[in-house]
Amino acid sequence: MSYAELHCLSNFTFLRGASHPREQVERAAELGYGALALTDECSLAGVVRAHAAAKELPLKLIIGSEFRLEEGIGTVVLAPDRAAYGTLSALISHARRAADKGSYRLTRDDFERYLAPSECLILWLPGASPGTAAVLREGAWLKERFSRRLWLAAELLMTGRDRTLLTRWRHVAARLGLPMLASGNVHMHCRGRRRLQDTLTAIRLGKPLQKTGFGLYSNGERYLRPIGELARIYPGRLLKETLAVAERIDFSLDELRYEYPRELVPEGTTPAGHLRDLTGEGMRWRWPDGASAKVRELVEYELKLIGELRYEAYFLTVHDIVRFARGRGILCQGRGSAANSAVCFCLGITEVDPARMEMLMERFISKERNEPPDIDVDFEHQRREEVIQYIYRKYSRERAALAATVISYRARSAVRDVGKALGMEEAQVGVLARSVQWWDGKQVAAQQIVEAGFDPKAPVIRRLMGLVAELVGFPRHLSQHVGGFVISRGPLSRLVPIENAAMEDRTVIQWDKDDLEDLGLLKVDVLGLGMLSAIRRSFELIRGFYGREYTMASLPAGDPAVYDMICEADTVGVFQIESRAQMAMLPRLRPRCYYDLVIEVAIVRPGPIQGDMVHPYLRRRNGEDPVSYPSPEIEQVLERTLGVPIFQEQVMQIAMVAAGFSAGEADRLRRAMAAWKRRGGLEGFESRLKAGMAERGYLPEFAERIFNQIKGFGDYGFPESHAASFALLVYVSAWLKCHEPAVFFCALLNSQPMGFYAPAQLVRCAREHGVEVRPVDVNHSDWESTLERDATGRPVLRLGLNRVKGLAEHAAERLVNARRGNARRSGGRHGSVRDNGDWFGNAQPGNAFRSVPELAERAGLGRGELDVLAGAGALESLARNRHRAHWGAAGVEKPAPLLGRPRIAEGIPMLKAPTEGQEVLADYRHLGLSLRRHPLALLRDRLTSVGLQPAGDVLQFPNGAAVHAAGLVITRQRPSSASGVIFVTIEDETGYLNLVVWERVAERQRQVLLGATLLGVHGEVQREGAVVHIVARQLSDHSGLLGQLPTQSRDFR
Amino acid sequence: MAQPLRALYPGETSLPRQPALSPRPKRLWIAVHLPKIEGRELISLACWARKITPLVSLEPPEALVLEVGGSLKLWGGLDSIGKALDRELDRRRLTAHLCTAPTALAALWLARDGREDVLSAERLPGCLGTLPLRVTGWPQATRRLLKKMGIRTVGDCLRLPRDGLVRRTGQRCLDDLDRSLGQQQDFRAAFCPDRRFSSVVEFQEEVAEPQVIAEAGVKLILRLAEALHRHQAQIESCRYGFHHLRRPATVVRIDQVVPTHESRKIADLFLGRLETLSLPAPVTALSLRTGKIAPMKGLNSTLFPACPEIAPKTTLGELIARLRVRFGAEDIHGLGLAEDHRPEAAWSKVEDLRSGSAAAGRVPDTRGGLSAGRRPAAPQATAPGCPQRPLWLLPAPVSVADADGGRGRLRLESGPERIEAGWWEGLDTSRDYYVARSSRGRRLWVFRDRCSGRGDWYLHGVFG
Repeated sequence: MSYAELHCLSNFTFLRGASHPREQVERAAELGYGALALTDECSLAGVVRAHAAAKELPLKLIIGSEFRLEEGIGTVVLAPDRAAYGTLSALISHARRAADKGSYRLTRDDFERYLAPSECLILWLPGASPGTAAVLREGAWLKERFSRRLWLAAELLMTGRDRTLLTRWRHVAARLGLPMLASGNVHMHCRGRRRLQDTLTAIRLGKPLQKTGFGLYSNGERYLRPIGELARIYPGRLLKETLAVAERIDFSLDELRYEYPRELVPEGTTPAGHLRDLTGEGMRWRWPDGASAKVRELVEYELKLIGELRYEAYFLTVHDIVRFARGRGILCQGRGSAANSAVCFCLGITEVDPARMEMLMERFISKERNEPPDIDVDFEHQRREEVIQYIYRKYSRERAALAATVISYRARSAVRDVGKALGMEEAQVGVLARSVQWWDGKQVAAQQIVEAGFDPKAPVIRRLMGLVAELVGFPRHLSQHVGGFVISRGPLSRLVPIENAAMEDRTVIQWDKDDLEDLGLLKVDVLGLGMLSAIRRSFELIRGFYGREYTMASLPAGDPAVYDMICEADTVGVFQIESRAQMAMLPRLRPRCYYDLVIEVAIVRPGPIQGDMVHPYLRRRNGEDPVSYPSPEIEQVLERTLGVPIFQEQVMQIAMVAAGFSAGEADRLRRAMAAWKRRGGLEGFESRLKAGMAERGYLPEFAERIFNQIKGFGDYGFPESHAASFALLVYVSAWLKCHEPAVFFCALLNSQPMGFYAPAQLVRCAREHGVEVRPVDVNHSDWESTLERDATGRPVLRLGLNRVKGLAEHAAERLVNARRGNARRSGGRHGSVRDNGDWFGNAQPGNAFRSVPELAERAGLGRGELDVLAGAGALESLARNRHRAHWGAAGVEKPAPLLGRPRIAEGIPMLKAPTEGQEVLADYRHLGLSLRRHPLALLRDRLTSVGLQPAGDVLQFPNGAAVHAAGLVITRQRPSSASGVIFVTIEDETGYLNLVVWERVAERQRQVLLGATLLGVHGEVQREGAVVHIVARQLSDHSGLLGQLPTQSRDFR
Repeated sequence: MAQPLRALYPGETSLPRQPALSPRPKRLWIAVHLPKIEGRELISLACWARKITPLVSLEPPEALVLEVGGSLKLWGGLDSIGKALDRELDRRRLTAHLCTAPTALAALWLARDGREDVLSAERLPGCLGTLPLRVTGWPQATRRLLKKMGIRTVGDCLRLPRDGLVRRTGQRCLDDLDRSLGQQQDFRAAFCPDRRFSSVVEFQEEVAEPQVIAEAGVKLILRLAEALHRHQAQIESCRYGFHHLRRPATVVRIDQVVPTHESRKIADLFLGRLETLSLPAPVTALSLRTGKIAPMKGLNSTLFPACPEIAPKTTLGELIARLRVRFGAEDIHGLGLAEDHRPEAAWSKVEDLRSGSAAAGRVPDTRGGLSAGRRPAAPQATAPGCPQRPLWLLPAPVSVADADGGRGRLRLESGPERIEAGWWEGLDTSRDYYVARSSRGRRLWVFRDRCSGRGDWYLHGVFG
């Protein structure tokens, strides 16, 4: 006796199904089921995972979906072949698109329109409602349309009425002439998930379990029941019928084939030919004087490889998108395994010149490794939307959609939801959930529970923890991937269901990027990157100011001045290497060439750090340790990094050459790496890797380190191919900072929010680099920051009105237009910079404002807008000081409907001028930065009197010296790789101090650490070369001092 | 709320208007600034302060102002008034700052900043000038705006052009400044305490006979009813204090459920409660104190008082009140259905009898079904009317071994119905229910307990 379960939900029917697809499949195989249909409600989101699991097992997986029509009919639709699968997928897309995110809407008409012409098999779930007549009408409607592929599914769940129901259904089936079969309405793979299923129901209904009542199922029979048990409940005929149905189905997801859009190739050419043409064209563009023989040879080799792997269309797709961006002046840069190829350079996908980076070419996509080509393209973050809309326009919404990201339960969200379901109070749940941030993965330590003020032995807490452990990792909803597009030749919805995303005008498919990869479907990543915006702006500013043209590729390469600056860790604002950890690394690694930057970008990552690879590399690089290789094979892999594995690719290669992994295994390892934090599944690889390496005579320590590194890559896998692309942006941004600081910081300010530092630090750094920075002024500033010319013709940075907190862009636009004397309502932020170059001069624009009322009238500004301008000090050219500016702003009357704005002659009162302290505080409050003295400079006397030392002095102290200092907190950082250590950067008027707060101190003084604006520290200097850290022993909160500035303000931010 | 009552006391409508700048009568104000005082304490102090002067004005949340110009003669000068106030504040363990000035606002502002007394009007502008704007109690937005203009003191404000100030901050600020300097009249609402009725009957000796206590109670209630009638007011609750010799009084609070002014209704409840009340000792005195007195809201009375359907709301309320008095509030509850699969948990007590009777029998169906959230779920096999439930459920399941001759004598007629629920309360139940026929022909509801390893059988109900 066997059985096929044809109605089974996984946890991709969110908050109903209580088992992972993999668990359902594995359990069904274990119980000896002949087949299992995964039929999530109006969704195929879980099928790829089930498919992957079923591939390894003797179990037939059937793809289907459960629907409840608007009119109330319950059905399960199964796909017997590829065409029917397409119909099912299209039906789901239709139902999902017709409703808000997370729900669906399906009418009888839709159901009929899609399914009547198809071959889909239909199971009818007649339900248990007592009205037989209505049930008969439903059945008749279905029967009329789907006569020979319709079954009545009898679901007996021990509700006490099984016998009655069976009799009634038999009667109905006989009346309609329908075959009957057994099905189980499975929600979980084993009985043990009953509590979790109840909890999920309570979460779904938003009530505590105690009050969910009949919302819960009356028992836990909705699991994969052993066949023996089923035989007791169902007549054998019904069980046998399930196998007959399964027999009729002959479809596997392996049949899905992905086809690239046709329109990329002009009539009469082949994809290969077209790619060759485009590459040739690109070669002439990149090397107007003719490419070297070496380059030509390389291109030829790559084209051949692309041809063999049939990836032409993929390159053409990416090329088309990049070409669009280029046409619009949107800066972009490709990265990924295939991106750093000569072909991609010719196609304009990357700016990394292969001639400049000899090292990289050999590691272009390899045939053996069977990786799909991977090209991520970064675009300017503020203009990525234009690219996305272009893709939608070009391929239509029917053929292009974003990949999904499955948002899963984390410990914290699980604690929150389960706690509420168990009826705990909101406040308690909050406390418990907040304490979870220190918890690691699934395990919730008893210690943490005690510290949060709960008894880990209390029954409710034990229940909570048990359920949380099960719930973590459950999918919760589908979100959109940051930019992974799937584009297809035919309607995409016949390949995978498409649904609405939360964002308006966005649609996502129901599969995430792992699913796509499992099925070998390709996607193009369209990502946003702030630094590209800043670089594009820089080039534009240079063009406007000097009339010089630069591109990323044409910037002078290998400039020693740039590397000098980098070696000194003077990298605030520079892409990637501006973080605390990177800055600490720079003086030790001392990059001197492009490839050093590639290493620098990749080395300060969880992978190399957890694999303990950083110090060995540095020692070898500095000649402290000899460079050696465990074997000649390894030497080939690790030569470029002095025998220390740093990149993800190297680790995989080691797995192949040193542990004997096949190419396919290595590829699976790569995917397991990315996912093990969420799903686990590295254990098998661990033993396999260690055994393989031991067999080949490698030391266990080396194997251990490699494995740790693999685990580290799980947090943030960082391949060399990405680092190479990033390194270019590092170099370009560092070059700009080094040679054109005014331009660079102006561009950075206009590209906010991005990067690591707030505008205040950027401005401070700009001034340290000798840039004159001028304040926001209604008579000089545009919306964005601009460049002016000083007396000697050098560029000066004028802060823009966009720095003023709370000022709307349209108000600023009115102001700027009024000042220029035209009522033109054009521009927006991009127009205003590109228009013309004539405001780089210093000339007072024609129609300067002379008074606050005049400004209000000409620019149509109200009290609120004037108030923020006054607060920001932008009215000082009109009102002499802030106090008078506020007086003027507050006196502006609303225009009357007929008479316009009243003009009132009034005298200017005697108002005291603000003190410096007041000015500084107001600057910070309204601009987030001040061009006056640093606030701590004003407090220095008081700070000195309580024994606080300035940062400038502290930085000179020897190693181990005791320190007592204080500063404004700029950043707090808790890197996941640093085991609970928190890094804090504080700033005073003499410099920055980097604090290291160990977990023990952080826990003890959490309030101070997280709450203080002006943070004091007792600690010890830790000096390593030029790098100075302060290890905090004791923290103190001096924020009160800021309030004692003569202003008595307490709301310093 | 106490508004209508105020009219009964013609002396206390509002303070007499203060003629501006007139030499007589010379007004003098004491402001009492009490940081962090509780609202109730402030009101209690205001009540006390009416000893000193009838013109007490509340400045919530932290201050009182008293007009003492008229009380100087009575109290023998400002000093003795100040001392009396100090003594009272001491007694109440309150810390306060007192300040005297010719205008109420000036006194208040000075007190808020902890300044000295200012007794002459001429010195006012100078003394007020140095006060920070915080003391004015103006809205935060106004003060913030003024601060942005660099205006930090009352003096800074006084120096501003008057029209300019009004346009930027509104009329109130200017008015306040004028009032503080006595350049404009300051009309203040006088404090008027809440009214309650309280009365007491003292006995000549210790009394233990309920009859005597009842008579005394009725006497009190009649007094109360008369007062209520006079003031056209009604009460919601009463507190009766039974005072004993050398031990704390027994206090009984009775809620009327429906507010009333009728002595009969109040007395009915009192007497009803008295019957069930057991006093720990004989009584020396009986006191009555009402809850808040509210203006009377007339209820439509019925034309046929004997016919309860016509005014069911009132009479039901009164019935509940009477039952509660008789049996204790906690013992009276309604019966409702509860949503739970476990039979023993499928009913519930309903607190409010009136709404309970309406809600009972209408349990909204929120069963889990095909669709999540938005749409009504599919009816399940256990929908109302589906599974068989006996009318009579045993208070607790009885082991079948003890009842009706054991499992062997039972013939299972239908089932099983598997019920698994309740784990969230720590008691997971997993039972298979059957309808069974006993050897004597009775239809029984029995279950097999799947949680116990042996699968014991229990009797849980009997079909009628």
